[in-house]
Amino acid sequence: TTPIDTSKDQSIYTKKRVLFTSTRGIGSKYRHLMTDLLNLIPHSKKEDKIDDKKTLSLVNEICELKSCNYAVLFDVRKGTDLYLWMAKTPLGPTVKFHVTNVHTLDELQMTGNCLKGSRPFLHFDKSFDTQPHLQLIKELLTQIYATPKGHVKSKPFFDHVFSFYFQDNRIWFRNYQISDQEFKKESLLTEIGPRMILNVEKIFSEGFGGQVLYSNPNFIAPNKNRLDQKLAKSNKYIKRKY
Amino acid sequence: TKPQTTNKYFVNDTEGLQLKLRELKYNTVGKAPWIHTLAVTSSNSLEVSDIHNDFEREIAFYKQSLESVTECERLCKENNLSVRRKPDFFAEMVKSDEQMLKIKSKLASEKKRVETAE
Repeated sequence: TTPIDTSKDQSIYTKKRVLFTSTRGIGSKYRHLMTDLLNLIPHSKKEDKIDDKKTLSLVNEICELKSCNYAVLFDVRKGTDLYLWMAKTPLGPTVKFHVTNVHTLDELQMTGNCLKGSRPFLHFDKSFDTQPHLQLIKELLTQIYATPKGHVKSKPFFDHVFSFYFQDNRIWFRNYQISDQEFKKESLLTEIGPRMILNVEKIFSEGFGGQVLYSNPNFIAPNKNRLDQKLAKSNKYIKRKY
Repeated sequence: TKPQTTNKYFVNDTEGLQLKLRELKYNTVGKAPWIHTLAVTSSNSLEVSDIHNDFEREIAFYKQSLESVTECERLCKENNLSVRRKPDFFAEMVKSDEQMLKIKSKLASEKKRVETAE
């Protein structure tokens, strides 16, 4: 592989596109999360729902048809468990996250607001540099979330920051507004939303398939989690007796 | 309940991951100059003693982000990017005016409620 000479032609950066799509049965909450992200990311493109959950590799072809080079797929199971697939298509890698603690923009507690189409700053916790799989995730997140300079739909201002923190073996996402310096002496942050926690489940080598490069040993499937909680609650009488 | 490790086979292919990272950086827009990514990594890693304490956690998040924002603004100046929007530039916002009004009225009513309670 040879590096591409980019000193003259910058169009390789500005021609970035991220495809957003979901499987059927996504439900209102996660649909709102998806529209929030679509609103916040100017270089995104929405695509129809995917019918067949079993052949997700179809997404690669859809990306090619729609001239997108990244894909974000919302995969909802049982109407409650959201899996978020983020991929560079078709070469990979693909990261599969389990998403919890979702708060959308429509919920009324966050007072921040930002321009539609302004370019975000990206903030990463230092912990992302410590492990190989986190480095890869950081790179992928940067490529997906960063809006290139001079993108057609973007505005040349900076009034919000996407923050990614690594804590408790999970990735926490926050989006803050940067208040104007004219009104306040220092730049202050106000949260805009949405909020979510991403828990890495697996990393695949190619776009929606290929070899497994990483699987999280701390990951507990939501089904298993529910079962454990149920079991902990059940048999109260027997536990008391013995 | 405490997390149980199942007897599944776990993978952590460090070499594969590093190879993929290199590929991602060189074959695509990964090696983009800073003006195209605007990404900053914090100088210190986050330390929250109790992640379930909402207040403590959010303060730590806020502080770390603020540090990065100042760093971003410095880098913007270095790269000759104008940061602030002109006061006469109006454009569509992510949240509509209606929703912002709702949020404000909710805050106001909350404040009133607290005052009357006192």
